[in-house]
Amino acid sequence: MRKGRKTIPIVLCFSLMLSGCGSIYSNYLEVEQLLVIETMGFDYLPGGVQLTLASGLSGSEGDVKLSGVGATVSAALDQARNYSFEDELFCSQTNSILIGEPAAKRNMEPYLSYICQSPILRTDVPVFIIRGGSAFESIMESGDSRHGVSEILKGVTEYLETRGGSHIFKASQISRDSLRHGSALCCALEFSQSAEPPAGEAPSAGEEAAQSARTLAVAGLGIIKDSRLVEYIDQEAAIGVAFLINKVGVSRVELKDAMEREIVLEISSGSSRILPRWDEAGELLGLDISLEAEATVTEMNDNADLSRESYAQQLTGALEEHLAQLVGDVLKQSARLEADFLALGSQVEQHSPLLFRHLNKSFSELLPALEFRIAVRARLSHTNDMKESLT
Amino acid sequence: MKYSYKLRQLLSLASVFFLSPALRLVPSGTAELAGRAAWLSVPVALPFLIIYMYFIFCFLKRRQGHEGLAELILRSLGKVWGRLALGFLGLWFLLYGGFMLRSGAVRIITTIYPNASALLFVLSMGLLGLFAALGAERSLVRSARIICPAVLGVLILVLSFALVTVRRDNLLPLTVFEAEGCIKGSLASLGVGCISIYMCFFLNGLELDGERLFTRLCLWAVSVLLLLFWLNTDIIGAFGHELTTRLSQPFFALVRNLVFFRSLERVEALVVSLWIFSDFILISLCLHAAQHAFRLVLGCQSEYRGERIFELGHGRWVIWLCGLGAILSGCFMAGEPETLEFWSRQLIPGINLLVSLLLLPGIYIIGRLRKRI
Repeated sequence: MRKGRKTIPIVLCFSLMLSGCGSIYSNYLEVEQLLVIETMGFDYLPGGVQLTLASGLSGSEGDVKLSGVGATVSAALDQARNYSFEDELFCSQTNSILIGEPAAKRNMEPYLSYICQSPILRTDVPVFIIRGGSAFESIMESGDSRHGVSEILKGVTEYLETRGGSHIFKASQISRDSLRHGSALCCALEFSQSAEPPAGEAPSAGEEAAQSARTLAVAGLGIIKDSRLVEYIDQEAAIGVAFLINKVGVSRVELKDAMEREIVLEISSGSSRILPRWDEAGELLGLDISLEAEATVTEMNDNADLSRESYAQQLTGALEEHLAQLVGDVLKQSARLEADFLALGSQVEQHSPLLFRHLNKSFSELLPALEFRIAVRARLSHTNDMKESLT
Repeated sequence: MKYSYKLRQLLSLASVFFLSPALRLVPSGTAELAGRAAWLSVPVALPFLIIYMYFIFCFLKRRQGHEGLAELILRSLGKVWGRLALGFLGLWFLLYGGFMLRSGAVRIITTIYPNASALLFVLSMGLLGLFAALGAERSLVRSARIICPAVLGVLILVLSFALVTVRRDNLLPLTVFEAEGCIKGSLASLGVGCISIYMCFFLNGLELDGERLFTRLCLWAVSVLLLLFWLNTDIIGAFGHELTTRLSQPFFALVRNLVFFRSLERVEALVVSLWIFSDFILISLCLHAAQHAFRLVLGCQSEYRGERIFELGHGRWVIWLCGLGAILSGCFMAGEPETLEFWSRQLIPGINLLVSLLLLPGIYIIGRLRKRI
């Protein structure tokens, strides 16, 4: 009883601290009061950064887009919050990061550092560079009442995950590759006219109405060297990248047969094997790259006849030559830029760790002098089209 | 002895104690020293830790009754030098407790409350630790027995889901040239393992009912290092050693990225808050050990006899002073991030290794030579 008389006042005193931070009525927010940000964009401004944010679509209200400017990303975020109509911005659900081309060409390191160090963002959030544009413009002007920019980017992400020719590059991966190889790759998007008119407009509403719809589309890959965007790899050439990094998905290739007829093939799977060639003194001479690809015929025109073995062999040869060309072009680009964005150094190191360790230069510096021998083995598994055209 | 406890309970205490410093030191520290081979530096520490367990076993074999390491130190060195050594150890435990208060507060701030002040968290956790230190050691040990499965269960769940993020090229290849870095990196794991054990056995009250102490200690060492090895492999495998050295809290960055069954994500706040239990156990144990040392120096009986919380007799006023000392040191030490980094990576681990590998073994050797133990 005596213990209880002394304990109760102590418990009552401590219970005041159990009410949470401040008062439950002053800093408690309903979920509906939070604006959930799903897309974040960074652009360079002299002396600072422009941060553009977009939420997802919310019923009939559309998505909310806002922007802030500051000396740092945090300052820009504070400004965006201060000058918005929203109670609180919730950025922990950010699914996509866009970086404008001028900002990427200047220096991507501050943005990647912010993403990796910020407690509100995931380090594995996908990063995209806006080819030929700014993140502000592409976020503010993309989409319509039915398709917000966040939904468009979700579609782009799903497209990249399921199809080939590109690969999602995340902030942590870009940071790690930049630290390890000095170079990295990043997905590029272009801000362009949509294939459909804005919601609510009829297809026949006129050219002006049709042109007002803008969207974000996959536009190849950006090469980052020393944290700066240096060049792009086009969408078709990105198939070569996919082979070299062993992330081959479904991708379409247009070829011409011996009779200069258009044939469309779909690469369903593929892989590559990279073996280094060393001389007796332990100097790296070059790389032997062997590719394997499996494809199907999806479309052919005119008098194509796939049932003839000689025609199928000729088509296979054309595919092999085309893939060798794509891979060769990417390798030449890597050598020319002295940028190991394909992580070839890692593959050489995996194969010959002791010899790699004793290289007298960095792998990037050795690239221009390396000889690349490319061998491709392709197989046409089947045709989705007819074996023989109608004409 | 009325308020005694078992070895299994004490080893649970050591396991929970182990988690906070391990998470702070091991991933980034080993990545900086060992590079890609950081994940191997943890198993490299195992033979050294087993040797240390043998030393602790030999020391504790000299116990009389329910003595702990504190009483053994006093007997080994005699009244004068023994008290000096205990005074030094008491100060070290207070310093360590204050530092863990600070680093725990910084962890909460960097992961959940970026705009908050560290002082609030230092003060809250310090007061909680103080009230725990005013009670029986047995209560602390039994609390650890309850907390241990919860914290370890969450850790194992997180590490299991994180396995899918591991990339082979972040872990391999390894060459013999990484051996030196690996051995240097193993010091972090060794230091954390040593302090967890000697701090737990510092107290009196342990009842060994014919248990095989050395075997149990070795099993404990193997299990905690296995868990630490898994943790390090997941972190280095996911981020690579280059990025891991640049992340301030790589484990919680890993948790931030996890998605469970494509539905549940961003659970890092729950995981961080679970680590508060580990911090509480650690601070309380530091205060228990420090007050035990100082009360022995003053010649007071340090055994808990059911005293009330505000009773100051039998030297219990020392507990309040220790609490105040730990809180003040936590409030004022390492205010700048660079200073905290220095304390975290070099000063505290350095002093810990000196105490673990030089001071305590030295005391044991002196005690054996002088035939006092």
